Amino acid sequence: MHKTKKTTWILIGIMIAAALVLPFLVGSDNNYMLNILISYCYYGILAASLNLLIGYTGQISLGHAAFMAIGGYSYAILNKTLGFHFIFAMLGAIMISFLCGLFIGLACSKLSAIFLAMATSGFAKAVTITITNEKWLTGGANGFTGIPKITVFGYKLTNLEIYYFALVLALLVFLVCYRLIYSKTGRAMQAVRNAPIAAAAMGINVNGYKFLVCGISAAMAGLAGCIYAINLNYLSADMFNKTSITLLTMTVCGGMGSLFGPVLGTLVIGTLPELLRVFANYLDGIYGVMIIVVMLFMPQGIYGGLKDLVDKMIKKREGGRVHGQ
Amino acid sequence: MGNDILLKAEKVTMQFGGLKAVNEVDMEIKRGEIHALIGPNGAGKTTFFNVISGIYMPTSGQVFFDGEDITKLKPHQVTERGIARTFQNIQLFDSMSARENVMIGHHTRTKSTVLGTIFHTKKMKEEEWKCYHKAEEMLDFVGLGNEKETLASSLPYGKKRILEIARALASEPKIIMLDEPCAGMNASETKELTKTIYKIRDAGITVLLVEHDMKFVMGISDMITVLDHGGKICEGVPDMVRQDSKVIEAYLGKEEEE
Repeated sequence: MHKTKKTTWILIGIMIAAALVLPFLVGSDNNYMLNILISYCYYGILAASLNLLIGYTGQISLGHAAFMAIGGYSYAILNKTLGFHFIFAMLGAIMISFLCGLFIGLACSKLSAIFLAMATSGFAKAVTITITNEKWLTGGANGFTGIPKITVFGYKLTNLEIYYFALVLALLVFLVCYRLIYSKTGRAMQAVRNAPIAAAAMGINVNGYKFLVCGISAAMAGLAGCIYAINLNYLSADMFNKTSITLLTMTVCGGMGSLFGPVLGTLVIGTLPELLRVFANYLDGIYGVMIIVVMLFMPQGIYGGLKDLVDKMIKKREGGRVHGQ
Repeated sequence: MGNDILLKAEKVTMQFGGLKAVNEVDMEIKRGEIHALIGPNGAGKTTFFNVISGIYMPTSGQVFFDGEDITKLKPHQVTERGIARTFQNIQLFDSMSARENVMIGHHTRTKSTVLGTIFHTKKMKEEEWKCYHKAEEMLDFVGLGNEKETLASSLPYGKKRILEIARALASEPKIIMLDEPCAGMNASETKELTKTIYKIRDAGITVLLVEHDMKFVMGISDMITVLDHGGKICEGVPDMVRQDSKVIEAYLGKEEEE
């Protein structure tokens, strides 16, 4: 049975408190800042979902943004074109993403490492091209415009309320990840990544787990797509073009295979484009350099690196104390 | 008397391209025995293990376990039936603790689903505890009680092999297949291992092992099967196998070749 350390609980508490208070620190009517805060929520969900897939199960996906696009467009079509209530539109969008994820899961069970990476990046291309060409359904290159703001019993949610809505969803995803990771499922996932043959010999249905994790991960990415659509009221296929690489940077730099890594990665990488507005054209290059630097010096990601540093400092202090006696 | 036979291989052949790694091997393993499979390098021992555990599907022939035909089952289904194994080249889950490794071994005996873990059902929590205690029990059983929280990758070599055994035992098998359990162990570790294997046998679990350490094999086995070039060349009790001319030839070569 997994016992969570006290420090972990404190860390989670601080995170939630900060997330609740932040909008008031930046000004609750500052739409620019609220947009950034909401982006943390959906990027966080995406990074967490990619972490389940790459960090824990060892299945490299280079096209994860495709599921976000599928989720976002499904939501838009269900909500605006077909007139479903936003809750049902979201559930529907998550379901559709889940099924698409299972489809890629089939590829996961047949392909390994680099071949899977290529297949998923091909899938992402195919999704973008389909969205651009099926004008009648998606608005094509002009984008999908006029996705309605969500209303609850006739009351239109403000940006601040949308932020809290997104935050609750992000926390829910975090909780689901937490429960998955520290359970039989999480152990099985790590076993699949570590030593697939031994995992099978321990009675784990290796392909079954790859298949299922792909589905769950895609469903989460689809949810992120919904939040994206709800927040911006507008979707276009090229928005998702570079997102896959951004997500990969978040997950890898933050720290794969740890619960907090992607959270940290989201905060760092999510903030960069705002800080580096002047270098906007070089952003992808900066991501590339970051991945290289982190891989070289902190293979466990920024989170892993920091944790090692803190552990070392604690050890040093305790060691010093023993020495002093 | 058929019930005495736990595992039965019938004319099992495994062909890779033009090479017959295992060639029409018949084998019967009796319940409660320690049965060794020996032979020179490349004789097909590990391939035979892989066929039984479902990693390879044999080119021809059948494998029966407890009367059921398991030839076409997948590895995880084979484990579910009660066949556990260890690996010649250690295959631990390196990033996890010894305890977690053994908990994974118990995977096949738990029933909770992914939805169960997401919604944190009572049944799932009970199973987690069961799993946790099973791991504790197995680690104590093999003598790794002090290493429960050690990362698998930082265990010394000999203990890694022992941890693999604990992990296999956690699946509550009827037979455990050990692929070169003594490889890389020193004399005292081998002695400990011998005790552990007897303990496993006494717990009612049949043991099938592949090993190169002849002193160990001759001492521990009830029955020995010798493979050479994929074919069975001899089978019997240790004293008989030791004196068999074909076996001596396989290991030392023919006299006139000297």
